[in-house]
Amino acid sequence: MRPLTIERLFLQCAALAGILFVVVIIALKAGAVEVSLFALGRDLIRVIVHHGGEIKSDYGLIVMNIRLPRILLGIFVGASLAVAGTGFQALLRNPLADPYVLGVSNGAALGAILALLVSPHLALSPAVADLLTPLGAFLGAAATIAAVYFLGRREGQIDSTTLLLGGVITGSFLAAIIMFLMTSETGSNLRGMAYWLMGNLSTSLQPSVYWILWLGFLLGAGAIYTTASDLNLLLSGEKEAMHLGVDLPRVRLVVYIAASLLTGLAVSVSGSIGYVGLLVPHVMRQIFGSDHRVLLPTAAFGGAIAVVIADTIGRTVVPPAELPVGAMTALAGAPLFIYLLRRRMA
Amino acid sequence: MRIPQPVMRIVSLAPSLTETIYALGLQDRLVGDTDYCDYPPEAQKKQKVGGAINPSLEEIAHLRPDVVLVTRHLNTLDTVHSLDALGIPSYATDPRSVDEIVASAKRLGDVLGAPEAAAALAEDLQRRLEVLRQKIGALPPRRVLFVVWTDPLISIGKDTFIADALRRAGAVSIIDSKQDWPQVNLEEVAHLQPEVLVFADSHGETTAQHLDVLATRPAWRILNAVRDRNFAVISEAVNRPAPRIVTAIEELAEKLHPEAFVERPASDKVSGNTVLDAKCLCAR
Repeated sequence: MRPLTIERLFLQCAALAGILFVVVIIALKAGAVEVSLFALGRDLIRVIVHHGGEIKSDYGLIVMNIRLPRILLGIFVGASLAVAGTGFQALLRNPLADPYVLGVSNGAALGAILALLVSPHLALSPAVADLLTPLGAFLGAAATIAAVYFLGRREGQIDSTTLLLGGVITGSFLAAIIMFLMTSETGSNLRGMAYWLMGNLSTSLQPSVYWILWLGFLLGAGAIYTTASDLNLLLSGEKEAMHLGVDLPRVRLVVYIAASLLTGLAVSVSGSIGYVGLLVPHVMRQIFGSDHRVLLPTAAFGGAIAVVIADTIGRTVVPPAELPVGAMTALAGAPLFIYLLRRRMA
Repeated sequence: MRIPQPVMRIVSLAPSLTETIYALGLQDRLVGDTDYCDYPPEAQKKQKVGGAINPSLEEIAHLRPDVVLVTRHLNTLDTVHSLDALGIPSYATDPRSVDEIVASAKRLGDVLGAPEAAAALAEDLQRRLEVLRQKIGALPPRRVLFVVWTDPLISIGKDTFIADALRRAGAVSIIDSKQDWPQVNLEEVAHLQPEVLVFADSHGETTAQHLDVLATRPAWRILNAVRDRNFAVISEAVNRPAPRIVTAIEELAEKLHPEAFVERPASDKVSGNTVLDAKCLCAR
């Protein structure tokens, strides 16, 4: 492992931030309505200067109310999944771990379905009713996190193998309940759930939700980053890390809770988007090495770039229809994963 | 496999087929239907054989039907093969337009041994469609978005019977997709600005609440139709390729072209650009 300098970390992140910026500009430009780069730049500056003053042009509303929020959501979801995936891969010492490996996405899906089932029976104001599905999804994810945590403990501590097995079993159990509800609840309209489960970023959210998401991201990713040096030592093995002074129970707890929180937030607004949390950490490890102090921030940028690109392609390739972003990431992710796998073996 | 005549015991594996049997007046011969068969309400009391995609073969065999009715847009080929293996004849329909729905209902009546009822039903449906055509056929169609689901936004493709039903109601879907159930980009919809959003109403209150929710979302408020609450909520019969779809078509036509349904047109000039009355369109 090369010694890390602040300059190197800063340069690597700046380079990725630059790529992300270019990707965002392209994503802002691409879509149903053509926007010139000049007009886009002029109006973005105008919005920033006037603090959210409305753009009067015909495309302004579309770009500002649909495209930009969706891109920001993509950045959040991609960054969260990639950081959570990096955390889980280090925690479980398993290269196949991804944010959904512990059943969190199934818990979120079940929560969302239950919210859809009860919402017609509650007299709620429209704004509150609109928050019910993401809230239900998040509560479902949180309940799953707690259940898997208690399943994954041995002698009062989290045990990686027990945690992994407990998570997988919980996930398949929850999937069975979802299947049961979707086939037995004939009276209610759950058809759309199938699309929701595929993962997509087209959900239009209330503005307040974005603040909650970014706050959650800073908390979760920040917490994982405080354990970055410990995760590096963990690479050499659990016993070795303990002998080197790593407080393993604390690291496990922090990474597990924080990574699950990130996953839960991402799933609650986008459904489950596969491959990002699995693949981005691997790609970043190939490029930047396995020092988690570099890997975590670069994975965040990498995940954001990957999801924004995938979603932009998904929503522009077959107009006026669009492909769910989850289908796009799987389409691109599976071959890339096989390529990385073969290269490592060669 | 031949269908024994006369057909005395029928199992229906689709809500649309169950409705058609009732419309033909053959409900006494219907011995089983699916969990989803909820119209007319009496159909819920029939013996249930499970869902449309995964019916219980044991239950069907136990009912000893002369024929099992299936439809291509809902049932699977697996089911038909399994029925063949059990020696139970099946009869499949696949209507893709309003005319085909009428023709298919008539043919079903013939197959089930009720040609008079079938002819009368088809004649009645054709007459009502013709009345509608005379009323609104010459009017410019309204540009609508048919909303199947909102998160994500799912609409209908141009080759579906629903798209054809919209055309019969004096409307045209702004979504020109070859997929049957395309997931649609909201940006594209904002670009095309439909005049009216059409919803099929499954549970009255849910839909009203749902529309209120939509109207609070920034991304949806870009649509003029959402800001002005130009929503047309029609019977969910529009989702089923059964005779009742004609009722849904009439309902939608009246909501989209109220001027054509005024008994005595006002003597003074009727504005060609009639403002839709939002209140009358909402399911309240």
